[in-house]
Amino acid sequence: MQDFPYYPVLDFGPAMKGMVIGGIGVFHVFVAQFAIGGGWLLCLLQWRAWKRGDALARRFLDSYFRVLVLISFVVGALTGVGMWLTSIQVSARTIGMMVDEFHWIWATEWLFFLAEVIAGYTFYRYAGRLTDGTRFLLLLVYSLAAWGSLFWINGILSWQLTPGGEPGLGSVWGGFFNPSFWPSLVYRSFVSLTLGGLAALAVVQAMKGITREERSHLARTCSLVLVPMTLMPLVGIWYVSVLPEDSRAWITGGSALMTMAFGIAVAASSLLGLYVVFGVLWKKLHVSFATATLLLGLAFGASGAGELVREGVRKPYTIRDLLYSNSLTQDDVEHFREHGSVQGDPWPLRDPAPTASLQTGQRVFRLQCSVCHTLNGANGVDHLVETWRPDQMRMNLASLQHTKSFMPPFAGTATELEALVQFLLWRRRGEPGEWTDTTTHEDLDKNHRWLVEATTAPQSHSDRSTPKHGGGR
Amino acid sequence: MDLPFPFGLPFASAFYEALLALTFSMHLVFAQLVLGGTSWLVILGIKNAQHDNVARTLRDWLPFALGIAITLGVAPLLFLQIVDKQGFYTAGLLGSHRFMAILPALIVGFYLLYLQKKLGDTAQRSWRVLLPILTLAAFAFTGYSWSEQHALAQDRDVWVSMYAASRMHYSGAEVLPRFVFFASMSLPAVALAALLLTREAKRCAGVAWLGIVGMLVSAAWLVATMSPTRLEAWNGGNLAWSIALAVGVATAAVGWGLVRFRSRIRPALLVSSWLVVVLSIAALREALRIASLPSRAPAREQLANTHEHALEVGGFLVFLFFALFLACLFAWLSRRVASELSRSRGA
Ligand code: HEC
Ligand code: HEM
Repeated sequence: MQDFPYYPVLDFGPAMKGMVIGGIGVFHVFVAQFAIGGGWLLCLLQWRAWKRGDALARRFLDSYFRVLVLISFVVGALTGVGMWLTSIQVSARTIGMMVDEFHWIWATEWLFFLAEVIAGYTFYRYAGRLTDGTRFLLLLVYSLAAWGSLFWINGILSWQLTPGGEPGLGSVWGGFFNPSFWPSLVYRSFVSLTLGGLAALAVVQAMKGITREERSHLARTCSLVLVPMTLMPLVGIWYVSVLPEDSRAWITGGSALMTMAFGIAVAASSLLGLYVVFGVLWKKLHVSFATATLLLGLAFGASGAGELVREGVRKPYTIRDLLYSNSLTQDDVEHFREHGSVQGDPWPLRDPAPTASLQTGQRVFRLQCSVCHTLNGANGVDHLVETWRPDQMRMNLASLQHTKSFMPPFAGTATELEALVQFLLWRRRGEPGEWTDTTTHEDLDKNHRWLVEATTAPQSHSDRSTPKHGGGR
Repeated sequence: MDLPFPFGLPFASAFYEALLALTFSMHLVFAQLVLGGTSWLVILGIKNAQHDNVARTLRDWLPFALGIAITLGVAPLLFLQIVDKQGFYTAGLLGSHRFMAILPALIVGFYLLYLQKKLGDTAQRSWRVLLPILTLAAFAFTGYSWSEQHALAQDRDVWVSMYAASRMHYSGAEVLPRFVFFASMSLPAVALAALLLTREAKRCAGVAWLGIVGMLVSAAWLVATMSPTRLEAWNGGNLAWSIALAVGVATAAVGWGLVRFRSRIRPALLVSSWLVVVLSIAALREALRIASLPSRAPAREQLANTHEHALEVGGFLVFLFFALFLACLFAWLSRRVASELSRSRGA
């Protein structure tokens, strides 16, 4: 086994790390997808300006493009870098593995992003002096490049959830075109079009110096890109159908939060789709600035909830079958069961408990639990074990993956498990300055037995429904 | 004598190191246009230069340069994570929010640049001083943060104590001179771009020389702060790059002398000497990084294995294909755009 890479673990306080990355992530995805959908809409408008001499389309296009460039180029790029840096904060090892495996895909994605920026800037700077054909070409390159970068990144992100093929690293293309690649590409493409279209509707309403007729003419053109949105429920079903069974269980009642987020995503996109078909296209309703902004908010909610689901249903993995959320591999779990997980951890405790064995427990918590739990804040373990008797704690933590299947197996020795239990008991007593360890040989034997019973295998879906924790809460 | 960087390394490591150095050079060029350009705008604002050709050109091009600098920053970010995961991730984790503050700073900087472009010469005097100063603060903070992050990634001895003390700020002796060096270097860079765009020979030469003097002073300062082990990295094969650097700087100084005193602009000489400077700095910077890696044999071996594995994964040919394809596409597009632009100017 190679040396285990211990990275310093930060404590973000009660706000969980997942929320930090979630916040930036949702914002980034929103901006980036807006840039893609907006690009396609611009192509459509430029096509009309070119082939039908639609002067209005051209005027609108120029003002919309400015919004697109101002928002997407710099904010889009920087939130992307932000995603990267926050991913490192959450799990450096995850991003490291993804880089090792997919750096050429990423490098290709980067080429596309560069192409997008250059084509975009050229249009921004010179479009006024170019022929319609060249304007169209530039916009086409811009849009294809923007969508292309989605294509590439989508393979990497969907791989985390459904790596497909042989478990293990080494087959880039098998991993890239993984089972959820196509549905999630279509899903994201449709979302992009919707965001681009809705933002355009808002810009149409904010435009000055055009008549009411012109306004509704433009609005109708812009709503054309919203049509695919109506197929969203089908794409949703497709996507859910390729998910691994246990991931699917999250959103169908397995986790209240995931089910709710999934429900929000579905409801918000259906509402949007319905409004577009019946309101905008069929009844030709006038979409005011306020409505357009509201719809955009709805779309933001939907895509936020969608991203949350995507992040959430991977638990207990960050890369399915390869890396647990706490940055341990299955090999590490097995190795640490034998040899212990924290004695090689070079990072000192910032706020050490009074005895050596309590400190071991503290370190175990930091290494194995803190990525998903705080002690007494969000998803706080103090609270979760509040009513458990010591033996119940030993048993439920020994069989962590069976206690809740979002959790990885416990990755330590019987002694480390005991230290964790003692640490939690010590906290329950109000962190006294002196602490005498009352652990007996029998306790350690029990730990050992329960660890063996729990095995190191991750919880599979089949036995999820049978709760295994003796006595419950 | 060791071979010069990257030739002394195993093939896989050399390959990724070279890519990192190359992509970093590209990033550096544009980052310096932004940093140097904003500094020059501060000077011009203070001097109250109105209807100034250089100021107008800078305001016009800086938002674009920033967009490209950021985009080009992503490539070394990628290769850095293959070359030295442990250093980069640990420094990023230790720096945490403090380091990530560069992102809001850059967003603010971008909108301030854009605002200056919009306002142009119509801005009031006080704004023409204040806006560039705020913008420079944002970019200088960013550049400084990268120097801090880079030096922290190599200063393995302070990691544990920094973590224990919950400190996010690293102030090792090398950080400030590093940053001053790169900031000085940004002046000749922007002077060269401004010369090619405006042909304002004398002013550009003045700025370039100011920067070259700054580079010499801060390089001496930097060397003075380095520990003997760090300095050793300069021995052996890296001597070649040090010599290249010295030759590049000297040639650039001569080139700018011709501009200033003979009014002779030699773009090829200026550009090529500058490329030598940028590349040799990128190479020396990597050589120092390599020297800072853990010296234990197993750690070295593990790192070499990581590089080896990275080289085995697929996708390189697809990357190469698209790189060529896009290069051709843009060559064709830019000819088309250029010819239409010259036609529209003629009409
Ligand atoms: C992958 C993320 C993850 C990791 C790692 C993780 N947990 Fe959990 N844990 C969860 C989630 C999600 C829940 C469900 C919380 C709820 O029901 O409110 C949970 C629930 C619990 C519960 C309550 C179980 C119950 O039946 O009520 C305890 C106790 C607990 N975790 C302790 C731990 C400990 C100790 C560790 C480290 C050894 C750990 N967890 C590691 C995600 C994680
Ligand atoms: C105007 C904005 C920026 C400026 C002025 C700037 C400047 C610099 C400087 C001076 C360095 C060298 C630091 C040193 O060696 O001491 C550097 C390194 C680097 N920059 Fe930037 N930068 C900017 C934005 C960015 C952005 C947005 C990114 C990410 C996308 C980025 C990515 C990098 C990377 C990866 C390195 C190499 C770090 C290392 O080798 O340790 N930069 N930058």
